Amino acid sequence: MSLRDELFKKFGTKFQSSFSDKGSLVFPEDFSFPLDSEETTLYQDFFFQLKDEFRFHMLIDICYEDVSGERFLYYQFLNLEVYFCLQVTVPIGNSNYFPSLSSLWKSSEVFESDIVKHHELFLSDGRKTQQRQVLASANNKINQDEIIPLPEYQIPLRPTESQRQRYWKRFGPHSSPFNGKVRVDLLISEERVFDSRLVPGLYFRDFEKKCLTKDPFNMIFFFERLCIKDCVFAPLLWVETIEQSFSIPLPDKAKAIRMVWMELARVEGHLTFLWELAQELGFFVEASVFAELLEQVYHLFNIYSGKTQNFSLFTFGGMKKESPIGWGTECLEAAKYIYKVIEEVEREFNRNPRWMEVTKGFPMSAGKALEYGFTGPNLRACGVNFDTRKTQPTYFYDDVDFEVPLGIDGTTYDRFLVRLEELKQSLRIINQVLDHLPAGKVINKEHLMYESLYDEGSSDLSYNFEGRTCPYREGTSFSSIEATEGQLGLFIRTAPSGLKKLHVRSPSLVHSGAFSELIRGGELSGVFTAFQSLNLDPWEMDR
Amino acid sequence: MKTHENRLGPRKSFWGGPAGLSFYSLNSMNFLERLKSWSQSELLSPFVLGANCCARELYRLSGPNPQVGSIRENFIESEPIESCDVLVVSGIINEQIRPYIIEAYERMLSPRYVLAVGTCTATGAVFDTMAIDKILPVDVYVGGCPPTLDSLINGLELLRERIRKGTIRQVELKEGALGES
Repeated sequence: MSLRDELFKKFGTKFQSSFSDKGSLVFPEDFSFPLDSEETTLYQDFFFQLKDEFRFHMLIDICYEDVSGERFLYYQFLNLEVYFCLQVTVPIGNSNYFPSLSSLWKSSEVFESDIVKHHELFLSDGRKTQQRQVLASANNKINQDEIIPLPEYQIPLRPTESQRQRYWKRFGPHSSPFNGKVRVDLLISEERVFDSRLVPGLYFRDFEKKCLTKDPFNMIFFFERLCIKDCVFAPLLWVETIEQSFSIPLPDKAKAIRMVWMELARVEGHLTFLWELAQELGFFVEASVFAELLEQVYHLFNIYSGKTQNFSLFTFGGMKKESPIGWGTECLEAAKYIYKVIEEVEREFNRNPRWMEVTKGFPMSAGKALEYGFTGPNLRACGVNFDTRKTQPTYFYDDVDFEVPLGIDGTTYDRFLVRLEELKQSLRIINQVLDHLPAGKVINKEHLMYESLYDEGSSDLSYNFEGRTCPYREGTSFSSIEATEGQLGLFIRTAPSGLKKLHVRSPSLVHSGAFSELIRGGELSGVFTAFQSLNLDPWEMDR
Repeated sequence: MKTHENRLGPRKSFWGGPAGLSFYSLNSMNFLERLKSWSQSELLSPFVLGANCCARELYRLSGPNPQVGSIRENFIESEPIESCDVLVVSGIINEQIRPYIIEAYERMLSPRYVLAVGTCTATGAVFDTMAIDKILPVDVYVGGCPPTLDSLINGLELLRERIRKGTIRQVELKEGALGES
């Protein structure tokens, strides 16, 4: 009996359910919040069973929506054994309170505090209400004119000597380690860290709400500015979700070239990570080597699109531009060169005793990483074999030969090594795809959606802005893509009149939840190494 | 002092100043002032505030790109922020980051210059946010979303040239003048 049937047998009678492609469960409407004592136990029992019996060990995302007074929470769960994604919808009526799941899944803390920050909601157990007062005002917007003060350290009644000397100190955004990026408050004594707080919201720009006012074509350019390290994956995710909902077929060549772009972006993202890590730890010679390789990748981007980032290349149904003549051979040559240099650099690093000493700290066990909802190379460094390119292959990932590198302890060194190996595998994929590049067009213009959009006969894709209609399907969907940092997800609810709700699952936000526990008890000098090794992106985190 | 004021007329403020400011200041510079401004323009230390696409393009300036050329000799990063001359602001400006930008500007010592990089900072047009000219006096704007490497280099060289010619006059701000919107 498959997991799907078991779930249907257990909950199918009471809940509204649909198990067609991805599972979804909707709570019955009798649930009214705040819950009675009987209902609370039923509610907790349900989620406990999900985790314990049905082995949904990962909570991927929580999304909140207010539909003219009626409020909904959408939970996304994942079973890693059979790769089954389940969406649970909880209507909470008019209530200002919603229940917390942090006792079962630790990753829910990040999502819940994100909801509390930006909306007029409280957690039913009363945690984090203080944080809300600091960050949000009545009209759903962050309003802050003064610098957020440091928290006060309360000395316990019978303090030890180290407890007496502890104090809070602010690092960043304009002090040496976090140059203009992020603010971290640390509780320190004698160069040791005992507690920390990552202050979010410095780059909050209300991305999700402003998306709703945009046209689906304009959204591609908007999504390119979602995260700085993944300017290929975020627009591709948006394009893919629209292609799925309108069922637009793709030509083979477009699929292959998109794969090359994704892997090039992964190479570029990992090279930036390696460059930043080497530079901050004082390995300037190696850093300059990585910077030189980066310029090679930028050169490839520049030939195709004329830009080094925010390419505006992807559209619904394929690519905007045909690949220029000779681009493939240049790619192959660059891949060969990068592979050779990376192998040499890896040998140098492994021989260097100082490098091994600096990067040996900050371990993370596999169980904890799953609890915190880690994805991507950070999860694979802990030894969990999870890659959506293998479990849910899109494009030609099924036909391509590549491996998923895994770490052992989840230390900084493992995170470094996994990324280095992944970079090599990406180069392997690029080689294989470009060797067997299919012939044909790169865009499918024959679909109905394009009839009113594109001028017929013109070679370039100049389209009419008038008379553009996109009838959406009614319903919700959650789609995700394996980006450089982890799983980048997108939740949308659509109605025939247009897009109603959009929510982005950013991997950096999830990884930031574990930052506090990762550096606790460590040395002050290692804080930046840990921050850098998690590869957090504040621009994407705040949205 | 009185004769000086009589000859040139009352000095106008920087904001509502005359159009021919550069000509006026060039003539009024003596040898020592010219030497001082030249020496300032030869070595500048920028401080980059921002973590967006523009910042990523800015970090390419320290890379091995042959386009960058001699600009690397004139702009050298230094820490802490008190020893920096140029505040490079990139990224959006919301109410959260505004007090930190003002704090960074106040911590820098005079003479200090401000370079605004990217459309988000200059106009706030991309995400409908605040523009920087409501907070700080800006010396040079660099446009683009994100700006190319060439336009960044041009912007930095323009700033250097304007410092050398003495066309940038340091504004003495009153207390509480910053951050009025």
